[in-house]
Amino acid sequence: MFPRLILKSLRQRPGRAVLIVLTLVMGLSLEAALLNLSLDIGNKSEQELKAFGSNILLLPRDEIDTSSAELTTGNRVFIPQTQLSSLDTPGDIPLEGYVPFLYSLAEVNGQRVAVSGTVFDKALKINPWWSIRGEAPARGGKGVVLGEELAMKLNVNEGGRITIRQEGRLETLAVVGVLSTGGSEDNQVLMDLDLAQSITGLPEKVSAVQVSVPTGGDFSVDEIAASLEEQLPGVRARTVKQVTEAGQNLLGKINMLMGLVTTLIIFISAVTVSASLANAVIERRCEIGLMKALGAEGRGIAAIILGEALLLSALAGPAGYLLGLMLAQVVGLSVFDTTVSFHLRVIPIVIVSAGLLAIAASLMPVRRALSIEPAVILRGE
Amino acid sequence: MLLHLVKDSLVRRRRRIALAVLSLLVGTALISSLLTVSLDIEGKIGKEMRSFGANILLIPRSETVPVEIAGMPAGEIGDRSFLREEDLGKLKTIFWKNNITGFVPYLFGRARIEGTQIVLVGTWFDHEVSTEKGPFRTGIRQTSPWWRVEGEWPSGRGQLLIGHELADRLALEPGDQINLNTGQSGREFRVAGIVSTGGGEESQVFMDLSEAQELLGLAGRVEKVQISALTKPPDDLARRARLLEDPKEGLPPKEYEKWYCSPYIEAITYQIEEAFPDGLAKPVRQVADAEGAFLGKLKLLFALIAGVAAVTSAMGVTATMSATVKERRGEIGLMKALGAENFHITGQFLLEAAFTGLIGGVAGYGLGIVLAALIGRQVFDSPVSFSLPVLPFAILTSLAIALLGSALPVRRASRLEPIQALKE
Repeated sequence: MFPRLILKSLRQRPGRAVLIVLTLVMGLSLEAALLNLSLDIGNKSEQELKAFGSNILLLPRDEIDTSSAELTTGNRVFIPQTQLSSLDTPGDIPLEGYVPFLYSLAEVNGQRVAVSGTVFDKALKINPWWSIRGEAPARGGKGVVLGEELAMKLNVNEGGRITIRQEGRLETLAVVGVLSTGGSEDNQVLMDLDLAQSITGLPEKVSAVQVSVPTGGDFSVDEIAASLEEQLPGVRARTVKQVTEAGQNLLGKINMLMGLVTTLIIFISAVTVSASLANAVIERRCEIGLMKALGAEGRGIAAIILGEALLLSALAGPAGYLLGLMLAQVVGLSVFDTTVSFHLRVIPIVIVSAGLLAIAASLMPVRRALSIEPAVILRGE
Repeated sequence: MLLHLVKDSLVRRRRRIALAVLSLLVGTALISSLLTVSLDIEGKIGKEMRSFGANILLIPRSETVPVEIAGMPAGEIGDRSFLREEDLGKLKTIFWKNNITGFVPYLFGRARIEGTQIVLVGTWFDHEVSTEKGPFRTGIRQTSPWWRVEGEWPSGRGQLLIGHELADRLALEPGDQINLNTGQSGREFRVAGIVSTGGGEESQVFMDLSEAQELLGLAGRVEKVQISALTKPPDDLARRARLLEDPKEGLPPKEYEKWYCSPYIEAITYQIEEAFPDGLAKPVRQVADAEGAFLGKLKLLFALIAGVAAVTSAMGVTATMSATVKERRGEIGLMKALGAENFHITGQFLLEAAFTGLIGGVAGYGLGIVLAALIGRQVFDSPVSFSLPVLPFAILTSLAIALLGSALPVRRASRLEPIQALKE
C-alpha cells in the first residue's frame, strides 16, 4: 500500500519528479566532483611544490655553518660520500631524489670566488629553476659552468677558459655553460663533483646534500628528517620550512574554498527541492485532508512525503556521483594534465548526502502537510 | 491593461511565483558570488603565495664578485658595495608600488660571542618606513612568515634573535645575557628569542638594522634587500621581453607600454632598477618561477569549478521556471477559450517572467554579495573586492534564465487546443 501510494503520485506528475531529481543530481554531482578534487589536490600540488626545490638539507653533524669564516679544509667537517649510498636503496623512507654539493673557495682569474661541486643532472632536476645556457658538465667531465653575474664580471662565456687556483694547485678549465638561478650560484663557479673533489684534494667528501621528499604522504617531512638522522650518523637534517608550511597553508585554503562552494550548492539544492515538495503538498491538500479524515496519522503522511523524497534521491545519488566523477576528471585534466585518482570514500559520502538532502528538504513540506485540517480543506477553502 | 493583468496575476499567484523567485534568487546569488570571487581570486591566491618568501632581490650594482654560498656570505668579508637605507622608501614610488607587499634590508658582519665566530645580520623585524604615501609597515615578520621564534621577537635596542642551531651549540636560552664583540667594539645583549627556519638563518645572529649599522661602523648602509611583490604569471609578451636586453629598445612602443603596465616580475624589477640606478634587481627564480606556474593552475581550477557550478545552477533554475509555467496550462487554456490571442498570452507571461527575473536578479545579487564576503572572510581572511559589472551581469543572467525558461512552455501551451489545456 505504502509504495503504491508513492509511485502513483510520482506517475501523476512526472514533470515535478523529474525536476526534483534534476535538482538533486545537480547538487550531488558538484559535491562528488569537489570532494574528489579536494582529496586529490594534495597529490596534484606535489608536482607544483617540487618546483620550489628540496625540502630537507643534510649537513655534517658538527658543522655549524657552511659559510664559516675560513672555509679552509683544515678546520672543516664533511659528510663522507659513502654514507649517501644508503639513500639510493629504497627503504621505509620514501625519497624522491637527492643531490650532493661540495663547497670551497678559490681564486679564479685573479678573483676570490665560491666554487660548488655537484652532480648536474640531479641538481637540475631538484632545482628546476636553474637555467643553463650552453651545456651542463657530464658526470666526471672536466668542463665548468659560470654563474651569469660572474661570467659578466670576468668577461668569459661558453667556449672560453678560466684559470683556477686552489690549495696550491693551478688548473685551466674550459667553460661549457653559463648558469642563471637568481641566487648565490650566479656568482659561483660550478663543476662536476668528482672534479671539485680532486682539485680541492677532498676525495669522497661532501658539504651538504639537498633532499626532496614527498609531502602529502604517510610521513611528515619532520619525521622523515628525523629518521634520516638516525640512518646516517654524522649527518644533521634540516627541514626547509619555507616551502612545506606555506604549501600546506595554501592547500588548506583551497580545500576550504571548495568546501564552502560545495556547502552553498547543497544548500541551494535543498532549498529548491524543499520548495518543490512544499508546492506539491499544497496541490495535494485535498488528498491529504481526505487521508487524514479517513484516519491517517501524521506519521503516515510524513512517511509518504519522506518516502517520495528518499526514492527520488536514491535515483539521483548514483547519477550525481557518476556525473561528478566525470566533471572531476574534466577539471583535473584541464588544470593538472593528469587524471584524478579514484577515492572510494566519496561514494558513501554522496549516498549519505543524498539521504540527508531528502530528509532536510522534506522538513518544511511535512510541517505544511501536518498542519492541514481536514474539515477546513474538504469544505473547499 | 496588460500591466494591470500582470500585476493582478503576480499578486494572486504569490505562492507559485514565490517558488520561481526563490530559485532565481538562489541561482543568481550563487552565480554572482562565484563570479565575484573568481574575478578576485588571482589577487587573493597571489597574496597567499607571498608567504613562500620574497621573490625579488635588490643588490648594489658593482664590479666586485660577492662570495656567497646558499644566500649567506662566505669567506672573509672584504670589499663590499652598499645601498643607502634612506633610498628604500623609493620602492613604494614605482609604477607598481601597490604590488610591493614588503621589503627587508640586510647588512652582514662578523662578530664573536664568547670566543665563537658568528655571522651577524642587521635587519628589520617589524619596521615602519616613511614613504611618500605615508608610513609603511614591513619586515621579516611580514615577508618570512615561516620563521618560528621561541621566546620573543626583538623589540628594541640591545636585543638579539639567535638561530636555533647556533643557540644549541652555545647553550643559550631566551633571556640570557651575552657579550657580542665585533673587533671594533663590544656590547652586552639580551637574547630575546631563538629562531627556527630550516634555512641558513639557524646559524646566524639577528639584530635590528640600526644597531648593527652602529656596531659595524656602516651607518645608513644596507647590503641587499629582499622584496616581496604580487606578480602576474608570465605569458607570451613577458617571455619575449625576457629575452631582450632592454625591453624599451626591443619592443614596439605599444607593446612596451603594455608590458610596463602589467605586473610581470621582470617589469617590476625593471621599474625597481629605474628607481635605483646603482642597483641590480633580479627575480628570485626559485620562488618566482614556481609561484607563477602554480598560480596559473589554481586560477584555472577555480574558474572551471565556478563555471560548472554556474552552468548547472542555471540549468536547474531554468527547469524550475519551466515547471512553474507548465503548471499554469489550465489557465492558458481558459484564456484562449475566452478569446485571447496567442501573443496576448505570451506577452503577459513573458512580462511576468521579466518581472520575476528582475526581482530575482537584484535580490540574488544582494545575497551574492553576502556569500562572496563570507567566502572571503572564511578562506582568505580579507575582504573580497567587488567589481561593479557583476550587478548588471547578475540581472541580465536572471532575466535571461527567467525569459528562456518561460518562453518555450508558454508557446507550447498556447498552441494547444483550449479544450485540451482546460482538461488539466
